Amino acid sequence: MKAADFNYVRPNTLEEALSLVSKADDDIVVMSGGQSLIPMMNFRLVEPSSLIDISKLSELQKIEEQGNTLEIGAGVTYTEIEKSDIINSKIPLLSHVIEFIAHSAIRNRGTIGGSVALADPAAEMPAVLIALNATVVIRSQTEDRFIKADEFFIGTYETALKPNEIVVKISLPITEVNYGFYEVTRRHGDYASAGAIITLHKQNNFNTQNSRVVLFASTNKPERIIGLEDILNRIEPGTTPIVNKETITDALMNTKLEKDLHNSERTKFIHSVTALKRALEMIK
Amino acid sequence: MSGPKFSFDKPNQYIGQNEIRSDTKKLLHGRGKFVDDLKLPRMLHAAFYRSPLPHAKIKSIDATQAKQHKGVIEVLSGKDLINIVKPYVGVLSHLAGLKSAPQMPMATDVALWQGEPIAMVIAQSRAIAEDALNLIEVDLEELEPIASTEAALSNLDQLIHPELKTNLAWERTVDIGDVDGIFNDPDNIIVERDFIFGRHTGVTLEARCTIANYDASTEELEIFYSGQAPHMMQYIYAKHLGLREERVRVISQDVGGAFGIKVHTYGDEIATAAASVLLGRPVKYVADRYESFVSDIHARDHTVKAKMAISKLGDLLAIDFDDVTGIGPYSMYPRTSAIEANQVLNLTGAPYVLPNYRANSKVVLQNKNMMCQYRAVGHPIAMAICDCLLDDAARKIHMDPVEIRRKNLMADDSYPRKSASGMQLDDLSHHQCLDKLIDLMNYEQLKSNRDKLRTSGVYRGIGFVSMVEVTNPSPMFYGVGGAPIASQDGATIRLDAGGAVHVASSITEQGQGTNAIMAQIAAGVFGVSLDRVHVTTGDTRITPYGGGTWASRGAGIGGEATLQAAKLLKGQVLDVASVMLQTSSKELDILDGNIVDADSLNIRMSLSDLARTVYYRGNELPSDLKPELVASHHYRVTDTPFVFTNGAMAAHVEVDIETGMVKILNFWAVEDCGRVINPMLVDEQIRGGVVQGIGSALYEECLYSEDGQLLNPTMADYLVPMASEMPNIIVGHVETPTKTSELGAKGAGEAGTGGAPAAIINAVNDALKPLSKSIWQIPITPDRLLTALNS
Amino acid sequence: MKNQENIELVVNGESLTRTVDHRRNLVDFIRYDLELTGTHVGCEHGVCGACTILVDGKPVRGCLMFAVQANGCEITTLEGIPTTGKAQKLREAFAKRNALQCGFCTPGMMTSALDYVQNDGDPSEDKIRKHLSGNYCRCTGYQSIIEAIQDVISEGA
Repeated sequence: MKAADFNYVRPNTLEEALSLVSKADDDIVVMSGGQSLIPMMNFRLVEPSSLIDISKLSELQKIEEQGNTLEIGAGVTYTEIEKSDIINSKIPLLSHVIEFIAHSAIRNRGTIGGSVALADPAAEMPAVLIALNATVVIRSQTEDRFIKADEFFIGTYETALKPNEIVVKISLPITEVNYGFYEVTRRHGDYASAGAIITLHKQNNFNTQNSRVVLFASTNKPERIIGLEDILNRIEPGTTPIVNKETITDALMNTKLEKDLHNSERTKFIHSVTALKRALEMIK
Repeated sequence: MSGPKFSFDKPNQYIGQNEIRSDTKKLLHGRGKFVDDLKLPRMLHAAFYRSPLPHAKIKSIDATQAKQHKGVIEVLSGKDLINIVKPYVGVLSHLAGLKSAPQMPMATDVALWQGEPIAMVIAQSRAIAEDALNLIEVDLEELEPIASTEAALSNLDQLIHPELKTNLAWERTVDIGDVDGIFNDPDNIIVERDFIFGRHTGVTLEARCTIANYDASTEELEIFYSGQAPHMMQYIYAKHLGLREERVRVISQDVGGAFGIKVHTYGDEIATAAASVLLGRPVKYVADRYESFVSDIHARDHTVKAKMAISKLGDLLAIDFDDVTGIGPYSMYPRTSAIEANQVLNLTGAPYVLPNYRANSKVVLQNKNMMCQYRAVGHPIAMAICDCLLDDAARKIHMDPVEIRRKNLMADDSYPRKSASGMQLDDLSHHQCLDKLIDLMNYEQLKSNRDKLRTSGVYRGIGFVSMVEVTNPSPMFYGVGGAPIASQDGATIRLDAGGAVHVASSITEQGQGTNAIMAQIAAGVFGVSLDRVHVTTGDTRITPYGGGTWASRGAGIGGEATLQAAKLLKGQVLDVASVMLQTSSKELDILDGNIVDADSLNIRMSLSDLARTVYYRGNELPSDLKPELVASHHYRVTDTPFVFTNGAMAAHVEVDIETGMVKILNFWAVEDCGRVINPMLVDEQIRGGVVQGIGSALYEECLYSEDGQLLNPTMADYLVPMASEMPNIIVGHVETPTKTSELGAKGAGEAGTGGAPAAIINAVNDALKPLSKSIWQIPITPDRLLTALNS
Repeated sequence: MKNQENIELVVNGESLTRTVDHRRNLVDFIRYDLELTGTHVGCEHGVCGACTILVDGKPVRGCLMFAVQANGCEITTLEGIPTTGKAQKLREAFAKRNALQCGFCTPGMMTSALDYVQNDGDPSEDKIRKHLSGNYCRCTGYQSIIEAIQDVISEGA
């Protein structure tokens, strides 16, 4: 399976890259890590006439603390996130999920920006960013846009990114977060059948307002399960949440689940309930 | 006349030793020679246009644009090969009634499976060839696909091959004893289940690949072959391309996994050779992973309605089943796609005393990829039918599954005898293996842990299988039916001037350790140190004529040939030595590269001195001495159609009832494969085989849409076992040498794959016992398990 | 020429300059253009791990990079993995445990294993299995490979 012919361009600066995509041409494809794109090119499912390689743009590779946010360049690889001291200490949920993403050879090249721009429903990064209330920073030749992760992911492989734009960084609030994460997956590193990420933002000890409950992989984009967030947010200080299979099942009633090649919708439902239940159990 | 009797207990024997394979060196330095590593001068590359539809009339093919594309040398359609390639039919006379139609390498008028080659591009590079595929205009008229076996059997007006007047390629029934009488007896306990075994495939990491190199000046065809049976392919290329057999040379060097996938005749490989003949240049074809999924043979697609009767006390009385298997639109050439069904009929219940047995198998044509022999042919189905029903029956009468096996397995001292289906069995050790297994796994402790954990909602299960495996087949397997498949193999062993020993064997190597085993046997039997033995395999021009490696025959058949050849050579060398040393050959021996006194082990002369004298200084020898420092021996099994091995295996699993996932905690396998030449290599074969069996039990399936489209032709969607989910597999050995040869070695390559699925199904059903649920379909996916749990 | 360019890189310690088609992927470049056939191709979509090589010291799928992206990089394939130190110990352990049969997964497996032992990988079976979970082997069943890695780790401890 050899890729079709294309013209490879490696801009030296972000400016150059933005100029190249400004034409908003469907035949021009931007590549970051390439770990999802190149397989599609090898299968000839994607046949760009021009491939813009932004993987070496230094502007996109910084990890910086700026006041009370952490700014992660879109070109930062999964491995760099995993090994980053500052991410491990300030936003450990982000580095926690890395080991579940594919395998180390893929993680050495795959990037957070690439994951965000692709919006695979089973990808961990989009779900984590929603759980952490992140902001996706997008740039075109003419403007910068700051879009909350909640609004950035629209559907399967569908985002708010326009053809003349590039994701340049992810901005994450630095707050203390208690989290739970669980994936139902048959083999380590595979895309999950269902995954759940739950964050409780610690304020005043047990005050659990601003909890986020994100379900992914069984939906066409990561979904916040508001019913469960409500329950978690109403918890009295000093008590533990009563969230069991029944409450989770109720909360999922209106969530549209997607079957896949191996799992019926019913199985996806059961896996979603289990993922949420076990993610909750992880929270101390 | 030979010297001292050969003994397996001699020092420096090598047989039974864990010697490191010398082949590992090159492979650990990236110096293997796999087919795609080879570059021939002026070599071209092939790519195939494959049918996107499972059933379609080929109305026209316009390759004008493709032919004009820069770098394209030729474009061939199926019809272009009609005058170059003779069609082939996958039938054998001993499978009476087997019907199939003549098959061409590429479809000519009708495409019969999604993935069947329709046209081929030969170009300067694979990438260019693929570019040109997009320029070929193929006009296909979609025909109604006959995908399911139900549709194939019930629709008599929709025939895959109208001239056959049926879609039923073959049918066979076995009927022993009084099955109806047993099932009608109200005193007997009956269990009845519908099994579904999922179609899956081999996924060799090295895909199929071939280089065909035709030299028009000498009319010789050279094939670099990633496969198991070079001599068989020599015959096939010669016959179907109209070449003289002796002018076809098939060479197999390093092969990246075969498992039976690479022992069949593939149209794309034949077409590649035809292209080379046409163009007079080397042509290389490498299947890509998508092509592997749609065109490598699939296997094990069986739907079985089965029932078993036992007495109230747990005596096995009868098995009765109906099997339907779909094999694609053709029976594979030359081994036929009926063999798997035949083995299911032959092997079900074979480990047990089974007085009444009836089984019917229907082999059905359909518009899906072709199906044929893949590691452990038929065994997984046969072992599962019997052993899973046996456990089901045991549960019904509250009998321990080990106890019911002890009651019914053939006694270790009761051989020779026949199975219910008439298979000749000898030298088996079911009870000894089961005893060893129970010991290894600490069964009582395991059971009590399982029972304790059940009370806290953790569902673990233990499952067993007692199995037989067909190995070392005689001519009764294929040759008797007219197949060009050698069931005998030979070894030629030669002493070189420097004291090194060369062995040429007609058995082949795909990583299981064939070369290492032949070397160990030759070194030990002849009398040199292992590092002085070199083995050549896989070249039809250089090795003796033989069958290659399949059906677990390498060690048993090739090994015996090597052993006898080594003995012969030893005798010949000692004859020369006796003249040179003026000592009776009965008083001499060969040890560590030297001729020694048999008693004192004093060195009399080195082998290389002897050899150099023979080769260079014949003047020093009496003129009536005719030294021959090369010997050959061929061996075939004559006593029985197959040499059976046996094994006992157990799986210990934990079922997560909230996700439907099965985790394999432990696996044990006790195997009796006769004399073990290298225990480490046998262990590895068992382990690799078990993991393949786990794959079929929990992960692997070729998923087809209702209209015959393969839905998961990628490694992301077809799930193979990877390291994280696999258990440690503890292997135990029992050695009951086969009487059919001096070496006494049987085969070990397929047992793991044959037995593991049954053990896993049993373990899962044991785990589900407290919930009164069970599952009878593999692979046991989370989706299926959850459905069973909620039924 | 269109859609082609010159690249300069170091492969197994040797500095090279080559002209490559833009669409030429890295593992094909290594195998066909450089004739270093030790690295193998199994799927061309990044799943099987057969093509795993070291790029600037890190394991990478050779089928998921274009050769042109390797400009300025240092590539190490199995042929260039040292014959001394931990790498050689790993080879010896693989041979001793028969952690390879057909040898086709071996280049990728050795690369992944070397990365693990050189970065002070944990000797726990579970962690080793997880690290190798991106390398498909059909022959061995994986156990002997894990044991070989554990041998090297315990030896170096």
